[in-house]
Amino acid sequence: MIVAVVGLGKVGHLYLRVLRSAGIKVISVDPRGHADHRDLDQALRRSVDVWVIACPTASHMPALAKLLAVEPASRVLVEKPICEPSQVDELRRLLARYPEASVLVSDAYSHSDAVARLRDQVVGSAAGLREISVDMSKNRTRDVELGRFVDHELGETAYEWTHMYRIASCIGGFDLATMPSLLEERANYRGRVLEIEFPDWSLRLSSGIDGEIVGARRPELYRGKNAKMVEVGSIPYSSEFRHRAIEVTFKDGVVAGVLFEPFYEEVPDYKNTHLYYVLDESGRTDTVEMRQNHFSDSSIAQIQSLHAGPAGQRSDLALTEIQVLVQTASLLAAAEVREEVS
Amino acid sequence: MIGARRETRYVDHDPGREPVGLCVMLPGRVYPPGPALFFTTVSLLAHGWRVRQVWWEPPEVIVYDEQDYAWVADQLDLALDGFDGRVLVVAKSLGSLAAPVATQRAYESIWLTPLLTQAPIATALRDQPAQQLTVIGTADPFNDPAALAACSGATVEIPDADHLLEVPDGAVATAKVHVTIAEAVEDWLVGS
Repeated sequence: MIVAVVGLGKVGHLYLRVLRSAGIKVISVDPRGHADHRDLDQALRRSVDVWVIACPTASHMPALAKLLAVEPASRVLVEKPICEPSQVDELRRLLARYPEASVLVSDAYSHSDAVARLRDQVVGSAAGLREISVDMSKNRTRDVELGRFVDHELGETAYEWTHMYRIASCIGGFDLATMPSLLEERANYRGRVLEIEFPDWSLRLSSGIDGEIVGARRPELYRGKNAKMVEVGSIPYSSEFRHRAIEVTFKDGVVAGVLFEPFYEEVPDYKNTHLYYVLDESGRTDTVEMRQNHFSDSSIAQIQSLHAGPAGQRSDLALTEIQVLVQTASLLAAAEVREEVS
Repeated sequence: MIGARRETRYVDHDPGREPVGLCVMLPGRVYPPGPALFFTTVSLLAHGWRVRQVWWEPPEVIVYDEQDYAWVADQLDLALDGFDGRVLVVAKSLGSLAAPVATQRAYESIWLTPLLTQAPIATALRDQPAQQLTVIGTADPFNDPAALAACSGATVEIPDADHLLEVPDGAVATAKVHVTIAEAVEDWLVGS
């Protein structure tokens, strides 16, 4: 199998590394000089089994359109979000124009063992769900200053919200396709937390980009300086620490959760060391360390599915996701205006 | 409509005598009247054609569905502006989306790097009843050797030329490619 990675930014390099580590032959495409090919035209002369589009979001659609124009049955993994909101019409037309093309949107947590374990706990719970909380916060001030990860249409919503919605959907067992109407009818954004009320449980999503951590926090489960950052709820400027926490509360008071990379820079393989925890009714805490590079496992699984699976595979939710992100961006922007006015 | 918010302008060239007809020159998406179209314009003027070069702002994303074909066909019609004499279409790349309408109306045509991987274009170039010249490189990702072999009229395949009609051996080699194309166009104009 030969995989071509289009775009050698931070994420593109990540794909290069994990795919090569897995023994997969990879070629790269980027106008900057350090890639195998400077443009798609050159790369299209090669025999490629699966394409990975990891260039800036605004360029996803032109690249995808070029690929499909030359090879209508291309198999393509596109980084999230698949396109900018203003390109949704073109995306819809493109997917209709090339029914034999396989187009999946990257889902870095689709094969996360920790997420699967939480989902199993929810499925096996007799008590039932009370709340799911997902927080993905980072101090992105420096990134923004350097012009990295800047999305001009979706703003901060483009960063982690796709992941949070997908994780919540997986653990909560609800269809993400229902999210547009849920956001329309049952969502509130207050205190920088988006709350969505289901009939008998609630979902809380939050993502700070200025280092503030507003979601569920368990500083006692972190180590070293990370515990302190989480305790005060603030990630300093230029720190690469990311607070990524999922917490599920059951109706009997039991709490189960996952912390991704809680031992940041404190253990040798901190990037791939995660913590699963359960707090029982009496307050006793059980923890299990889980080691996995879920980005690598999920990416390779999606690429293998594209390669070995039938033609015409699709992330059916690609269009829904863009709609959900637009709605979220709108809710966040409206809340900002309210805060400024008050 | 895509075209409604985008601006198209024309650069008209007059042969200096009674024209034999009107040539509408449609560019590529990122290829305004570049070298291949420039030399073709020079030849056309020498052979008495009035040349209308179209400078357009195409959509950033080309899906190659009915909407895009219709947009290019509209560009052709707008450029023709009701002209009812002899018509020659010269098109590079994206401009080749005019092929179905050119074939339907039996317009004489010169196609530079047409998108042969697109079935409607390959079919149109196969079925074209009028005089036609097709030029494309072997290193052009839009080249489909079987579709090229099926094209009616004259065909020229340039070894190692990519979609910009550039070859890997540098400027002089690329200039020689353009000499080859200019000669092919001259020969075709003499014979047509």
